[in-house]
Amino acid sequence: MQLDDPTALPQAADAAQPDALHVAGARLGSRLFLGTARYPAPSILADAVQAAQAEVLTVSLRRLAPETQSGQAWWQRIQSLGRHLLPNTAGCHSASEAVTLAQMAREIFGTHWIKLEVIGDDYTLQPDPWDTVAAAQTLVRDGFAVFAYTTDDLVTAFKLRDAGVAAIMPWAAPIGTGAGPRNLPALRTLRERLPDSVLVVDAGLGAPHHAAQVMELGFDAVLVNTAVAEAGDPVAMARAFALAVDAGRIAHRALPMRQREVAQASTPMVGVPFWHQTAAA
Amino acid sequence: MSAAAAPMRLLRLNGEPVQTACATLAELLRAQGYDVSRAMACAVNRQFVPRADWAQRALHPGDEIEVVSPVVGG
Repeated sequence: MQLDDPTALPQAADAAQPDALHVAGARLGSRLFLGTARYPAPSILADAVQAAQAEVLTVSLRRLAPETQSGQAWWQRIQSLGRHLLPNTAGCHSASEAVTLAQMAREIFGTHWIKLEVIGDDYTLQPDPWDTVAAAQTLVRDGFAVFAYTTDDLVTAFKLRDAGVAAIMPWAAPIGTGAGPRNLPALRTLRERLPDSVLVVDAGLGAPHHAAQVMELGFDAVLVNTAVAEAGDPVAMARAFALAVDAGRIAHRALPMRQREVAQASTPMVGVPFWHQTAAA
Repeated sequence: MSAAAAPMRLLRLNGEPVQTACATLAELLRAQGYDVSRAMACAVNRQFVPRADWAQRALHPGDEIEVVSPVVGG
């Protein structure tokens, strides 16, 4: 987009509002996806969802013991919120495990959306690029809308795009660290080299300014869980993240200025008082 | 062979060994005490088994069965 082409700029009234995100056949008014884990209580989760105005919630699957009676109330509460559910394949270590878990998730949650996670290293929870791509190819062929969790590696992102995923979800930092973007140049490169892909920063965001930062770069959305759930006041933090995501999105569309290496006065230099006067002795 | 002499099979259910005479996945779930009306999904030997197939899915010695349900997630 050229700055000197006024037709390329969004209309002023529109530019001051966050625009909708179209992904996997849905039109989303919110660009903040929210995880549902680690909240102090289900009621706080529900209030945080409202405060964030989140339209996409991540969920998961775990082994069920016959005697287990709990979990039903939580599940009914999540359903009553009426949001898009994005089941994950967290804990899978191979493409075949992830594909099977995705099929189980599709039946349980009644959605073809799947957040594909295939972990390659248990210590860093770094995704396995080879099995992630292999699973993405299989799942896309099977009719899934794949949201693929990955690193900030450009070539892996190319392979996921070529597999036909709905969204590529690079990490900002390892899951649960809250460290914020560890490699902004790599994230910037992803955005520049994949201009037509839906890119969602997933994992590692710890504070609202991290979210604003990647949204300013042009990422389409962010997914946050721990930073909200483990805040002292998760509901207030959910709102703070929502505001930051909107601020970052609006700023991106407003075309941020280019940085300079040296100072440039912002106040006009013409007519500066005392210009070329000799200082009184 | 009479019903009383149904062969016992050693399976694994969510990683735990289970000795059972149940011939199908649906029988096993009922025998183990699952409330099958709740939100749950199954796989046998890492292959997804749709709910509609539980009654027909025959069990064999050594089968590994996974039963999962919704939980919170990030």
